Amino acid sequence: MTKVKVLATVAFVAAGLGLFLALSAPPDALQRTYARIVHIHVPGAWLAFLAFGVTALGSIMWRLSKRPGWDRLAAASAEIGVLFTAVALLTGAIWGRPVWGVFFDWGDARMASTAVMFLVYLGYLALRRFAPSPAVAAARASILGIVAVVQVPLVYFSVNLFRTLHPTQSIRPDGVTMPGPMVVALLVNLAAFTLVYVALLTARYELAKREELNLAPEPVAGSVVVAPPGWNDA
Amino acid sequence: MIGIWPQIRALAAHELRIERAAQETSALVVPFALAALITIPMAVGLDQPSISRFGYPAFWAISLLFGMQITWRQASAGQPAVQDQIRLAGVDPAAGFAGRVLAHLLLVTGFMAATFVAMLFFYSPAPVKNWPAMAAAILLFAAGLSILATLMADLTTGFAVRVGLAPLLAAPLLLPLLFAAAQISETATNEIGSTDPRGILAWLLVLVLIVLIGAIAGVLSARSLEETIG
Repeated sequence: MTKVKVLATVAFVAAGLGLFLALSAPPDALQRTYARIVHIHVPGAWLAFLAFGVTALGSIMWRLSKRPGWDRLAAASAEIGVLFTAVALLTGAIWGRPVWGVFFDWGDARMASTAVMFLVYLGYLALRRFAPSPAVAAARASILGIVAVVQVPLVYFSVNLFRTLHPTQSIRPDGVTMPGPMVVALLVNLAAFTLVYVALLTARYELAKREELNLAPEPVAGSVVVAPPGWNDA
Repeated sequence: MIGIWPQIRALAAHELRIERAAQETSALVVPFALAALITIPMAVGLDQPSISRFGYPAFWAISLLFGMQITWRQASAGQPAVQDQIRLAGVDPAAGFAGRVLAHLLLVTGFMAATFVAMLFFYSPAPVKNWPAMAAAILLFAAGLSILATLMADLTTGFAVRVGLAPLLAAPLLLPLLFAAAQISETATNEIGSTDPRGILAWLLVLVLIVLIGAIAGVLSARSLEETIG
């Protein structure tokens, strides 16, 4: 667990720095201080995309290798992805109320598609939770993990594909539409959120490994003598 | 060795025979969907212009919710015991999936046709100006729903909480289908939209893409899903 503690400490420090930069960056000319929420909202959404991408990667690799580590990675990443999607939805709603006048605008393609993605991955977690065995959970969830990731590019490009209220990407190949201090704060927060993601992923992965060890039959004495079949059922 | 198409036809016929005996779609799903169709005008407030405006949206929403019910009926061949029999008969898992989808497609299309007629009767919505677009939307919606809901039903086969879990998995995945179909029906009943096919074609393409992605996922995952049943 030392690795997790080190990662968590680094993530905590980076998040503190990100928060400081977000609060010290100049306010937006039109949205004033409401725009500061972008420093939580955008990294939250980006990390959700990354997390679901890792879930799909873990699912594909599990299907190819059948190694339990890939399934653990897919499951852990999906849980954290759902958390980050909730952060993005919640901060979007908090920003939307004063700027758009509503918490949730159904006419906005980005918000609606993000909500759908959130529900799909809640379903993914429920599928794992209610599977009759870990083997069935891994096999079935890997299929959903691969199918569901189709939504990530749809959500990302929804602001370009549909007429929407949501602002388009601020950092694009053809340039940056934000002032310098805001971009720096956004990138630092993105790095901090990535570290938080890595720390949470490592912790959840280790926890899943321990859970699996607890489910396995325990040795009676040392690692040489093990309980006879049926001993643990008595 | 029997070819893949005869296997699909045989399984679809088998599924439809089970349905004819059990009559879950005609005796349970259709009456309940009609009840839902009648409930909406009461909630809207008995104002005829508003009810007319809600006609097509109500049709799509009810088709989605009750169409899903058709794909995971109690009598479906997706049950483990029936799956075991099909497996022992040496049927290709992909053919098994395609056979169930074909049967569900026929049932869902019939169900949607009945609901559409009932909706026209109860809601008196704006007349359809572009029938080919509307018919294509209904068929593609039925195909997408049958494929994705069957896949989700297969994913939850053998689960104690299947009845609650399958809708939770399928409903969000089917929402893009609902959105695209609703856009087509809005344009197909609109005087300006019905003469400009570009908007309709874009949404039809979205429906085709969803159907293709679902079909590929279902066929590719059929064998590994079968390995985890039983």
